[in-house]
Amino acid sequence: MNQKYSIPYVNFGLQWKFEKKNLLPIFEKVFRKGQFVGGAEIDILEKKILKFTNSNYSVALNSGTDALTIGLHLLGIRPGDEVITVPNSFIASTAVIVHLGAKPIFVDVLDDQNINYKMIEEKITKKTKAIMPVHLTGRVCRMDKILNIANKYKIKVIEDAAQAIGSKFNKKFAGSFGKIGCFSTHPLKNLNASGDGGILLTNDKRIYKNAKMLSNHGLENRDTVKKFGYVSRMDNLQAAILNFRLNNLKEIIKKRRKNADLYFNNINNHKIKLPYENINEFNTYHTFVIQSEERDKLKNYLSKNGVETAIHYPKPIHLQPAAKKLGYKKNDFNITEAQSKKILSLPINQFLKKYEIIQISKLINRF
Amino acid sequence: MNVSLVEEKISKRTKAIVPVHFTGYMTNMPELIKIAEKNNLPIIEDACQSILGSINNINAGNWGITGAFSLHPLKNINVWSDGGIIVTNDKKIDTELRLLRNHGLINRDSVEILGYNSRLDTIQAIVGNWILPKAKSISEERILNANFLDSKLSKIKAIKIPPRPKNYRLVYHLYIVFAEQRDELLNYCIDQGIEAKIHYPIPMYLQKGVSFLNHKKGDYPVTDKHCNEIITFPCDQHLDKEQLEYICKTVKNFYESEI
Ligand SMILES: Cc1ncc(COP(=O)(O)O)c(C=O)c1O
Ligand SMILES: Cc1ncc(COP(=O)(O)O)c(C=O)c1O
Repeated sequence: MNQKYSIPYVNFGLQWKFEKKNLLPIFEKVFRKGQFVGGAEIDILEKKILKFTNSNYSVALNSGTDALTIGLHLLGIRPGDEVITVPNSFIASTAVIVHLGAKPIFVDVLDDQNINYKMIEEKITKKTKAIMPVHLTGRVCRMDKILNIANKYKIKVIEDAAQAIGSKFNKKFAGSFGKIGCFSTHPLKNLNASGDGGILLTNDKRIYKNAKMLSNHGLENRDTVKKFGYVSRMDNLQAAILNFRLNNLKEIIKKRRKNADLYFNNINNHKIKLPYENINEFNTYHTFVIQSEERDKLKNYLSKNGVETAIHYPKPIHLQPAAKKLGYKKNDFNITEAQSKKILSLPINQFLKKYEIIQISKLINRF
Repeated sequence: MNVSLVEEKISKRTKAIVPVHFTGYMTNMPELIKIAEKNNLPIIEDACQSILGSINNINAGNWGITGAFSLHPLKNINVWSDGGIIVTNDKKIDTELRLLRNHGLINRDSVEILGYNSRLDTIQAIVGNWILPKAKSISEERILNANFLDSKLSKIKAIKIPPRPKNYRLVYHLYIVFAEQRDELLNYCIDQGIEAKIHYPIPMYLQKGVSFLNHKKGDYPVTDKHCNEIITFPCDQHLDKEQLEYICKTVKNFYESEI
């Protein structure tokens, strides 16, 4: 694990090198004022995010996970309800459903690793209260189809857009399709804070107001508790950092898309399956995931040659020890399980040099 | 918590007792422990306001199965952000807590139990590591300030100082006294530039958020009485003697000018 890679998967060292001059005064400004919880930076961030995503309301929170929790809570998810989602996500999208006492109902995925919308309808029961599509890798699910189904059955949609800030489908932004959309600003995300963070998006004023309140202990004002809430506020410091980085997000996305193009143009090993972008999609490549029948060997080969890669995610959620009680078993979700053995995330971060991507591509071709 | 009222509330469904060491003043733990042990109930200490408080030299957080501290910016020991710490003497709980705070992950890829995203950011840990060595002296300064306020305010008839038991270490997250004509005093102090406050003006049991529990006004008469009498004065380690004197003088002036 401690191997020194010539091409690391992420590069926080370079991020700091480029941003230090800008970030240090921002830190100082926040620290000097001593306004750490709540504060002006939060308000600015919430406004900026609206502009960026073309939405009406946003709430800056503690983490993407808490954004999902508060979102589900506000959609009225209660014990016994069912929420339809996928088994090939980060564990948090399932955990939040379980913690509210509801049952995650998994649906297998498509070739593009996103929810197979054709299989949603058969899973809908009287108890189904919400659908939670996950825009994995920074690629938006088929929201047109999903919204049609949701409308037909009067079910709410909450988007796990943790990996997809800035991504689009039919020119509309991830997070702005459903009743609620949730972003993560975890350090590994495209728009990253220097700690945990997340953002909830909505076009519904009531949800916005309640999300603000729930994230702050349910306090209506300093002394009055309207509903039992959480402490899920974003730190003012993290908001200040995000306000700076949000200015560069368009550039970051551009750079990641350029990196993806470099891979498309340089990898020509027919045994490797590359991701793709349909004409109505705009993918932001939180991850660049290729598929190979010999994934482990390829990962090793790249590693030996100094290239760090990752797997998102090697063990599907329904096969995790924590999910035992949900009653799923092996072979329940064939595509997810098959993909989990083939997927490999290549370095795609905005700090990569062109020659590095060409070098990785060459290694893959040679393999 | 009036510990002598606890036992009558215990039912078959009682699973735990959560005493709150309010203001830096601990619950009567020697007595509460007896009740908990007799009834086989674990104690979760809400020690959020009472880091380094103690009774009989045993610190807050060390009496129950777990103890919770808040590191919120307004707490005695803070990390310039939201944050908190759990202490426990139980190894199994420690192991489980470490899983729970990080999505239940035992390694990058395996989820042992479903958990939460409740990690402390590294930046906050750095602040905490820097401030922790000062924790003792911070609480000592607050105690000195409180003792000073006590000595002066106790001379005013309209002010009642809460009991100060000798075997307690009171750490004064909040410095609270009981006052006659509280609301007028509060406004007067604020007018005179003192940031006095009420912690808290609406008792928990009367909050809208708990209306489903069907409590009604008067159910907790001592709490109600306190609500009308409590006032919190600044007491933190950054105050100098002059500021403390000014608080006492202002309170004195208020009552003297009233007559
Ligand atoms: C798909 C997905 N959902 C939810 C989360 C949770 O976000 P966070 O880490 O900000 O709690 C993440 C990121 O970790 C994620 O990738
Ligand atoms: C008695 C008590 N319990 C719990 C908490 C919650 O702590 P935090 O604000 O760190 O979530 C606080 C502080 O706000 C408190 O004073």
